[in-house]
Amino acid sequence: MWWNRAVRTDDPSPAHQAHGCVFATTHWSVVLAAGDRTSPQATEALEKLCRTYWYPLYAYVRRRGYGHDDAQDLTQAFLFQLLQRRSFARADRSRGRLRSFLLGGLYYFLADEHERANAGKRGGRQPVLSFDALAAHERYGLEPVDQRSPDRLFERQWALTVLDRVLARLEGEFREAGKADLFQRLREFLVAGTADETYADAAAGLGMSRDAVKKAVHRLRRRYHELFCEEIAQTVADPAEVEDELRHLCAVMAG
Amino acid sequence: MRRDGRVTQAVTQESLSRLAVSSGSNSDGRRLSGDMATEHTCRQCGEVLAGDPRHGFCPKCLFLQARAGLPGPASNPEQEADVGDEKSQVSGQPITDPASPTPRPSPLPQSFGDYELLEEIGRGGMGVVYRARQRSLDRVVAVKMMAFGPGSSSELVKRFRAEAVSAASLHHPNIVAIHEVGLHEGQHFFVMDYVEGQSLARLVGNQPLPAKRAATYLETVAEAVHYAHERGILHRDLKPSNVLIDAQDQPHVVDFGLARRLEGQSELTVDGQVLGSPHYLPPEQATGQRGHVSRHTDVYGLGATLYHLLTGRPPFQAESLAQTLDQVLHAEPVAPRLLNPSVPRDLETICLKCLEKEQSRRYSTAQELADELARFQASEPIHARPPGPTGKAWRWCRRKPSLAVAMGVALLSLLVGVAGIAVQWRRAEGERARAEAGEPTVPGSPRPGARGRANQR
Repeated sequence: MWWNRAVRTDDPSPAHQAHGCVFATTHWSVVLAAGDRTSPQATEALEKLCRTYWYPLYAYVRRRGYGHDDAQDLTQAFLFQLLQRRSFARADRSRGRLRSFLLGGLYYFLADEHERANAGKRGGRQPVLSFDALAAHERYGLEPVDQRSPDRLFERQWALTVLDRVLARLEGEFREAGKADLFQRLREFLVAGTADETYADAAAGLGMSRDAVKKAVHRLRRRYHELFCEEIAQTVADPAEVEDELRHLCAVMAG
Repeated sequence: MRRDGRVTQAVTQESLSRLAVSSGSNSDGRRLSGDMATEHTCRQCGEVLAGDPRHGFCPKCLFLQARAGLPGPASNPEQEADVGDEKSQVSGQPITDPASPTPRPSPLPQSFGDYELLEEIGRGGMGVVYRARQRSLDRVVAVKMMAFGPGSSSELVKRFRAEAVSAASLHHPNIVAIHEVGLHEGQHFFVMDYVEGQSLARLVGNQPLPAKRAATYLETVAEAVHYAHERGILHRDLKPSNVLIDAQDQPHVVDFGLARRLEGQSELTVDGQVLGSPHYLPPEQATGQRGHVSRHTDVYGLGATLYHLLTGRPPFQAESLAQTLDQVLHAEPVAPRLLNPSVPRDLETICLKCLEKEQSRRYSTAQELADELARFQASEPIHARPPGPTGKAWRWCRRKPSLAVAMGVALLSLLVGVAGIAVQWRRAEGERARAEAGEPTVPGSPRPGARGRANQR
């Protein structure tokens, strides 16, 4: 797919480089570039983003006090409107981030819906993305009951979605390379400073030298960081924003 | 702790802090297998993990690691390339929050007495477990030593020795045997079998086991637990990480660190203390009701373990201990078939019966559970029945008593109102009928027309 071409180009120009990760176009930059016009690429990119980040939207609506059925309807209706590119005119594109755009857009959308108070107008209840409603309900049921505001819950779920995407891609890359076993062994070293077993033990288990394990762990961590940058880059308009966004998401998780 | 306007009095700060300590003992069982990964706490900061374990790390640590690749004073990826020792850090600084408790292994004593310590393989709330060689018998054993050294409180020492004494009296092929209890240079220790294998927690991860296999493991474990119950010993901390699977695929129950005799003369656990792993706690333990802990408590632990095997996650999980305990007390577990549709209905019924909040609704003995699991495996009818509409309504009333009472009162008022209206209606109908028939509407009053005729006279 086209967005797989969006990362790691050979263009080393500073404008496209962010901390070892090289970006060309990203999903969100393509969507923004298209503006209110429809284009197959922009629609595909937007769909991809919506498929990835629908759960934070659903969780936000639930935390705003809507029940499962209403939240499902409203999330679908919001996505429908989004994919119809009706809400772009209102978006504050100067903020440049998909996360902010969606959160702001959903806020206004819910305000409008409240006034309309007519479920029949919610895109005719036609699902635009087939997310598993039951899974969403059960998943939300597992969310901790706390005093988090809808905004904070949204941001936390957003961050977790990014994280899970990165971890899945990291594991997937090892699996596709036929190195699933290596990943299973090395993942214990993913976060620096956690190596309870020595590299030598891991080396013995893998039939590798200690130095080879050290290098493999280093490559694992570096790739993890790269994937994080890549994933975040898909949601910002300018690669220069990746660092800020990553720091912001760190702060969200620490809060 | 407040939830939906209710105050959960049972979950006190003290109980949570004690629980936090005890939850550190989760991994003892797994550590016996030689695997240091922690199933329920972050490998980096020790925080209790909720939901997807994400390779054993909490989201906060994973984000910090991702951020470590950014340039700036906090990190330097070039230096990371040179990190080769086991205490790897970025830029020489730990990436964890300085306030986070980061467990670090204590210096390894090379040997003591008859034992040569080979490696630390586990660390829990009450002890550190080493793989060791017993020189005289030339065999590999597991040695558990006090984690806090000779200066530990007398209560901890007493609890540690009670663990050894209670477990040492058990001789069962599916319970890890204790060989020796001793004291070396002020350090209490005991020696037990070293089981080569992995824990159920490790085996399952977050991927459910096939139903038959899960039932087979649980049947064996339930029989072993019943054996201990018959000798007056409760486990009280049954969970996947406390069951080891050996090379012959046989389960072994470990970590009787929280065990106490059924007769209850032990004073190790005072009222109000909550001990055990939060995700697998029955309500009576979550509320620290010492007098209510019984065989049913272990039946609950067995059910919680079965739940994890069938769904890949514990029955209750939340982001904090307090929230998890609140779920344990007030929420019903998600039906296993919702999380894993391949779970047979009978096995789901068995599992949920173990997880009943009311002890009397669980299986009365672990053997009864084992028999039920055997019936399931033999494709025979099980004895347990899923709750019907009445049972579900009763559970709902117990969970939300205030709302239930309010709804009951409202319903009663409605019924009384309807009955009153019906009575009045019937009375009015009767009077109307009598009026039409020319009878007096009130007893004793003259019939219509009679007064007129009297006046005419």
